[in-house]
Amino acid sequence: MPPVYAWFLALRYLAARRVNLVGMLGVAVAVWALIVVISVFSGFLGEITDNVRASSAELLLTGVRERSSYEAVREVLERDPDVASTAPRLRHYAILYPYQPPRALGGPAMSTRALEANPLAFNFVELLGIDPEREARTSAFATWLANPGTGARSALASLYRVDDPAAPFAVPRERQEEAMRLLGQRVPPGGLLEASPGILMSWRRLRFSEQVEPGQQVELVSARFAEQARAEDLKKIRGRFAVAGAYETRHRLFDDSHALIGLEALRTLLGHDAADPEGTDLVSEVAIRARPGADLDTLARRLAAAVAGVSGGTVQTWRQQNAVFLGAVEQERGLMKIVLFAVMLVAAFLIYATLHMMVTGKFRDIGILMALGASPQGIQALFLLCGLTVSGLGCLLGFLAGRWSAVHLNDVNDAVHARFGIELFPRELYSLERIPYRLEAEWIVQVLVAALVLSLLVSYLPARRAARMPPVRAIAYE
Amino acid sequence: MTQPVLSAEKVVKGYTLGGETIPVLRGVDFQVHAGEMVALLGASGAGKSTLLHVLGLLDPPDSGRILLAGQPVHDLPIRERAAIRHRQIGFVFQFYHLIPELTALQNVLLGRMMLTRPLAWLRERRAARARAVQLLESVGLGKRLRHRPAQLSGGERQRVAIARALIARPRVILADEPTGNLDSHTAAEVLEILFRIHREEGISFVLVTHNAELAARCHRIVRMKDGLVLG
Amino acid sequence: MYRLFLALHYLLSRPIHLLGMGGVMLGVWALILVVSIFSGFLREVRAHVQSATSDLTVFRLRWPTTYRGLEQRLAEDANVAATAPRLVWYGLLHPIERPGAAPAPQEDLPTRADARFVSLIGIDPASERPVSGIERWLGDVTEPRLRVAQPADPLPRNAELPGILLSRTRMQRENLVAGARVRLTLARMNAVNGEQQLHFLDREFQVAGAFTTKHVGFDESNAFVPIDTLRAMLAEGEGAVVNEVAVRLVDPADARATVERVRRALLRDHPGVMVMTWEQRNEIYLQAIGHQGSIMKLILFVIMVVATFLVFATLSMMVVEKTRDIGILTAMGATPAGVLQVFLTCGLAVTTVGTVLGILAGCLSAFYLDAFRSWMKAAFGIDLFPTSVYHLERVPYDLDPLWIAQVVGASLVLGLLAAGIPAWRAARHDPLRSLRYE
Repeated sequence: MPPVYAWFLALRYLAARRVNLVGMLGVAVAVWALIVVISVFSGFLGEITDNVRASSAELLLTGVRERSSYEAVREVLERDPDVASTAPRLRHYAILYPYQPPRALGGPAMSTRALEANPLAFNFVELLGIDPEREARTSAFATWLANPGTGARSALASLYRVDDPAAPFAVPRERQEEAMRLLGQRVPPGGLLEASPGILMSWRRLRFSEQVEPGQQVELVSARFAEQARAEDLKKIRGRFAVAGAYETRHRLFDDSHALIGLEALRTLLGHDAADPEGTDLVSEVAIRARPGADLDTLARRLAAAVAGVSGGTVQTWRQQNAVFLGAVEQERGLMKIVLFAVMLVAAFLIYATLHMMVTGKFRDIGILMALGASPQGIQALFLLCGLTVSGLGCLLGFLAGRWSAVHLNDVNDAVHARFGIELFPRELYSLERIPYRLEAEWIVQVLVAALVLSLLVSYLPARRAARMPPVRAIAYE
Repeated sequence: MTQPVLSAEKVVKGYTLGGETIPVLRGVDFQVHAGEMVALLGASGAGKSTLLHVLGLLDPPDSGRILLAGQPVHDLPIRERAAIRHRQIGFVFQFYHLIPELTALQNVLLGRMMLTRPLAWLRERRAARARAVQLLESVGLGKRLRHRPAQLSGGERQRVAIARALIARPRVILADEPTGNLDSHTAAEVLEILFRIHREEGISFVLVTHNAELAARCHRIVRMKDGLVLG
Repeated sequence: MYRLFLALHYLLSRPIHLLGMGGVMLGVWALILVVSIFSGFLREVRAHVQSATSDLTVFRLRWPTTYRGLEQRLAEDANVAATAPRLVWYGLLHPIERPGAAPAPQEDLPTRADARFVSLIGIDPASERPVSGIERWLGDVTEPRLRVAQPADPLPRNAELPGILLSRTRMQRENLVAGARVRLTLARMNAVNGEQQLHFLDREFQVAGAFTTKHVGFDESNAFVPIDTLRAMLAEGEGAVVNEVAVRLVDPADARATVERVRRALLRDHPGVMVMTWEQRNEIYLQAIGHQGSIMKLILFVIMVVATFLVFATLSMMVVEKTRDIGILTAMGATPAGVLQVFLTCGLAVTTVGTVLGILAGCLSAFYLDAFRSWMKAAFGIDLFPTSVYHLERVPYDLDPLWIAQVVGASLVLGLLAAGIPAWRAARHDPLRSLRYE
């Protein structure tokens, strides 16, 4: 602990010269920028990662052998004490046609902007056949249904909200007929013979489509090979579904490509019913939810080994399922690190310069203090305290400012937008309602500690110079 | 005679300037006894100030010894030398050398802070402050406690410096031309204070001066020339 | 003269004053390097996108539209160099002859089953050649097993099976070689007795070979087939139907104006038609990258601000230190303006030299970017730029003189501010007060 005069003088010195305020402000600006950038950045990454996580099952058994039966797999999987629940899934691909006279030609209709953004997304659809009851227990399915229309984004969203999450694929016949009437289609006399099974489209897809009525019928076209694949065995598939509503996982890649239908409906579509009596239980993947606290990686390996004899295939954690996407997201950090480092470095220069000049200016004081009995260590401590106080206050100020502006970022963005018509941060581009920010204590502590350590390092040089000054020269001459 | 409080034995000290060593002290023997007031006379460049700095342990001698109450102290580690300087020795300079940012009272208090840790200071603060106020009152500055050096006259500044030198209750005060920068009237006032302190507190003094009249009032006069003590 | 002399002397006598220079240099360096990487990247991506897109595209044509009338109307515009008919449709592609199961590469789950989806572009190779880069797209494929046999006539009319050009990435993913057979399934709505009915269309094709553009997104989804074959499937007996026309311009720089002109010319006969430049078609993608760059600029600017603080701090301390000199100068007859100039010169010298060094450092590290990047990677483990994510071979850079000029301007203005305030204070200094000091 430095002697009391070091503390006493450090504060007096700092208060006496306003230029030290500049040093403090410099550190504050740097810390402020670091905190805002990092919090928005981790907000972004965190949001994306959360969305990815919400769109995926914790564990997914995939790549199973053809004609794998769910019951057999389930029995093996659920025997594991760490498995909380499982849900069967069936996957196929199709081209989607709205059952409506398209505006210009016989092709699918869609918004041009959407088409240009991702031509595949709005014509092609991956069908995911699910069992709603089991799915709700295993993945975030319930949230997917609740997501669209949260917030005041659009009155349209509530229109597509699924009424009964327990039976999301049920679309009453009357509603389908109503949609046909609204679209100016001819309803057969006496009404539709039977209701088409429901299909859940992603909110993104619905939003970009030009006109889709709830209950509207859409047609799917697909094909699949029979088991012994020969050219002649390519079976054409077509099916008619009614739009039951919207879901949203908020993971763009998933939402752009997937439509959800009932597991049984997809089995029927693929011909695993009357013609294939043993096919009523087929799955192509199984979603698995682990018990809280279970280590996903070990569990994945254990389960893969367990099902090896039953269905084969691999078990992937949600991170593995999205490895490429998450990897690309993480890559973004490189340039950012350099920039932040440069900001810190210049702030450190600033501390160094002010302290160095302070030592020069206090040349005589150092001599006096030594004559009064100060040791070199004490003198060194005095100037280290000066540097630390400047950077400490700067850090505090920067932290408060950074926190404030991260919290009010959206307001600032709105205000600038309203005032000058410039959007600092185009939320539409990333389809976000608000600029996400995340004040992660871990990061902030890192930044602050780094700033303090750096300023301690750069304060050390001038402080050591002060401690080594020969006292006599300072006091002997005027 | 009693043992000297502070003494120099065969002290040699030189400075390097532009690659050349200039001898400043060339084997100086010097003592000051308890309660003694010694005047150090000599022309400019005779080595008076350097001797004072060496005696005050600010500058280590090239050879020779410095003894404090008979104990050699010149070769102690730098921290201990600083501590001795603080406890036993007080400095008064020609140019006052106050810290411009601090008030008169704070400048005096600074003389007590050198070795105290912050926690101990909390306990000692009150007593130290009372003593600082008392010292400033005794030098006639009771009404100027909160003035900064820039707001004080030269005589007042020097009186603050004297109070600062006294606060740690040193055994010896080394004064380097304490009146050299003052007009004769103010100088007389400051000197009276010094003599009074000497009388009342029994502190030894080494006074570097050009002033023969002042020197005559001291117990003993030591003359220096060309880095040597005469006679 | 004394002004310059003093300014230089002040600066050089105390190297600490040059620290501000280091700060300015660092800021300028980062601004130039990072922004040049970003604009280089944007330029590269634009070039990739442009290479896969024709200058203009006419689309949203009412069904059925025949090419002949359109072609004439388009040819009337002075800026139109050539046009090519296109028929664009969506389908599913199933390889029939697969030389063994392809081992699936590590890919994300949601995109995995995209494999079957294909966006078909029916083209007439002869008219396509002068309009788009198809010749280059075919020529860039080097693997002998994937190459088109006759690049001059990639989709021969008289072949036994109609040909199809698949992207190199698709062929590699599906483990296909030239000559393999695939089956395409598509569907279209037909009005039968006033009611819409979906009709399947299904045909076998032979893979003629691979094409590759540098635009990964384009390659991912598209395949080329002869327009006649596609017409026969979709529009039997309806003539030379098109739903898109690709246009090559004489002067691509004038594209925006041409778009308006062409659209107005076509609108009367083709209501609802849209005309877009390649930039407009890929607007969202390009915007997203451009925007990342501008956010980066904003953050980098913080460095300049902190560097300005640095210059300001050293300079105002210098002024305090030289209070006496200022008094003496004034006593010797210097005017306040002269004093102002001395310190202003100091500040500007620091900023100017810092800026120049920063530009040099920025340009050098951009020129030697690859070396710099591998050094950064080895020394700090920081990858400056993830080339693999954007399918680039090397980190692109683009030193834009305009941007450098902007950086210089900004740093000089900031330097002037940082120097101006202390210099002004120095000039206002009361000479008597500084001489009376002690």
